[in-house]
Amino acid sequence: MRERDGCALLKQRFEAAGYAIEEAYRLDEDGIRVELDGFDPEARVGYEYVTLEAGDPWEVTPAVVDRLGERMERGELFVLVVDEGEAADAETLAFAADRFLERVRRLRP
Amino acid sequence: MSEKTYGVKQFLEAAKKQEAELRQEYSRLAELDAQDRARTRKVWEEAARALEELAAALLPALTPEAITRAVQLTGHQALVQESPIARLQAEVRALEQRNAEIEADPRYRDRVLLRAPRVGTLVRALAEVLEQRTVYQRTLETCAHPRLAHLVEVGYGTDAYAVAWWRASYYADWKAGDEILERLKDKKAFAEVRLEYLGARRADEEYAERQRRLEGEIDASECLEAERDENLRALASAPARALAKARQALGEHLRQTPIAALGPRLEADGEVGLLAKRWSGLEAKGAYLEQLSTEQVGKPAQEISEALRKLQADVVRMSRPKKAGTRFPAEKFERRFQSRAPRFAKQRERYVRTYETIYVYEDYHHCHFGSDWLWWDHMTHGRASGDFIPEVREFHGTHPDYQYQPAFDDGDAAAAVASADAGEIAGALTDPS
Repeated sequence: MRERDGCALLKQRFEAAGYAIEEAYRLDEDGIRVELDGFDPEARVGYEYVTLEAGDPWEVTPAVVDRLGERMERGELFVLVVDEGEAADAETLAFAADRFLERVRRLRP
Repeated sequence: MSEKTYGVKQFLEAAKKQEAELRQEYSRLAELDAQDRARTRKVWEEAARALEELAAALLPALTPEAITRAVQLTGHQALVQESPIARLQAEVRALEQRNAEIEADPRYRDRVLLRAPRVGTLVRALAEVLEQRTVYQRTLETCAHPRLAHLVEVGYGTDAYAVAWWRASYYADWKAGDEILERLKDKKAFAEVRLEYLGARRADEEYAERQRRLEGEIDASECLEAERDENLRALASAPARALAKARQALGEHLRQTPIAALGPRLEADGEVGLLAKRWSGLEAKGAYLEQLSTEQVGKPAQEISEALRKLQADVVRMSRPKKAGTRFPAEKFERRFQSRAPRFAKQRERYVRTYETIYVYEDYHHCHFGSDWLWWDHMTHGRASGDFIPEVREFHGTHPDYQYQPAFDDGDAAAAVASADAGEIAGALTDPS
C-alpha cells in the first residue's frame, strides 16, 4: 500500500475515533525530534508510516522508535508505527488502526 | 563498290533471336544434367552395394579360416593385426561380466520382490509414504497463509513473541493468526495450531526424504534391468556387428588399393572374381558418367552462360543513342549470329549416346583384370576418346603400345557390330564434330 493511501486511511480512522489529527506534525520533546505523519497534540495520539519513499528510515531511526516505545509504555503518548511492508492491504491496516485505538482508549488516563 | 553491312536495328533483332536460342539450349542442358546426375547417383549406390556383396563373399564369417582366405585374396593384413575375433571375444566377455554383476546385485536379483506392481516391497513402502504425506499435506494446506512462515519465525502464540503492541505488524500478526485459527475448529489458540503445523511440516519433510530414497531405489533397480536388457541385445548382435565392421574395413581397403594389383588374385576365385569385376566396373561407370556429365553438359552450359552474359552486355552497349549509326561488316555479323542450334543438337546427341552406352553396360564378367584392362574402352567398344577423364588419360600415358581388344569372342563381336543399335552407337561415338 502506498504511503499516501495508507496515511489517508489512518487519518480517517483516527478522526472517526475522535482525534483531531494534524498532518506532518513536528514532535520535538525529550530528545525526540521527528515529523509524524499524523498526530493529535492535545490527546497525544497519532501515527507514523515509515517508508523508504518518504526518506523516513533516516529520521525515524530504530533509536527514535525505541524512545517512542519507552514513552508509550509509560502512557505519555501513543503513536502507531507502521513499517512499509507491514500494511500490504487496506483491510489489514484498518484492522491494525482499530485495534490500536481500542487499546489506547483503555490506556489513556 | 561498297561492302554489305548491317545496322544496329538488325544487330538487336539478331541478338534477341540468339539469346532465345542460347536460353533454350541452356535449359535443355540443365534438364539433362539433373536427370543424368540422378542416374549417376543410382550407379554409385549400386557400386556401394556391389562392394558390400564382394566384401561379404571375401569374408563370409568371422572365423580364422575365413580371415586367412580374405587376407590371402586381398592382402588386408589389418584383419590379422587388429584381430576382429579377439575384439569380439573381448566385447562379449565384458558384456557377460557386467551382466553377471547385475544379476548378482540384489536390486536386480530381487527386482520382482521389490518392484512388482502393488505388492513389491519398495512399491508398497512408497505407496504408504505417499499416503502418509497426503495426511500431513492436508494439515499444511489447511494452515497455508502468506504470513504463516513469519508467524512461526517470530514465535507468534508463544512466550517468545516480542512484537510491541504499538507496531502495525503486531496487529497484522494478530489478524493472520485469527484467520488461520478459524480454519481449525478443534484448536482454541494459535499456539496449538503452531504445534500441529510444525509437527506436520517436520513429518512431511521426513516422509519426503523417504519418498526420494524409495524412488531412487526403484529407479536404480529399473536402470539395472534396462542395462542388462541392452547388454543382452548387444550380445546378440555382437557377432553380426563385428563381421559388418570387418567387412566395412575390408571394403575400404579394396577401395584404396589399385584394382590392377588386386584383380588377378580376386579373379582366380570364381564367385569373388565375378563380384570384384562387377564392383570394379560399377565404380568405373560411376566415375565416367560423372566426368562425362561435367565435361559435356556442365562445361557447355557454363560457356552458354558466359555467351549470354556477353550478348546482354553488347545489347546494352548497342542500345545507346551514340551507337545508333554503327554498321557491322556482313561477314563478321553473319558469322556471329549464325544459328548454333544444329551444333548444339549434335553435341547433345553425342553426349546422350555416350552416356547411354556406358549407363546400360552390364558385361562386367568380360573383364580380365590385368595391366591392360581399361573399362572405358570396354564400355564404349574402344570407339570414344575418354582422354578428358584423368584415369583414361593416365592409362594411355602409361601404356603407349596399348590397343583395345574386345573382351568377348569373335562371334559376339561380329553380332554386336552387325546389330543396328551397335552401328548407331558406333556412328555417334566416332562422329568427329
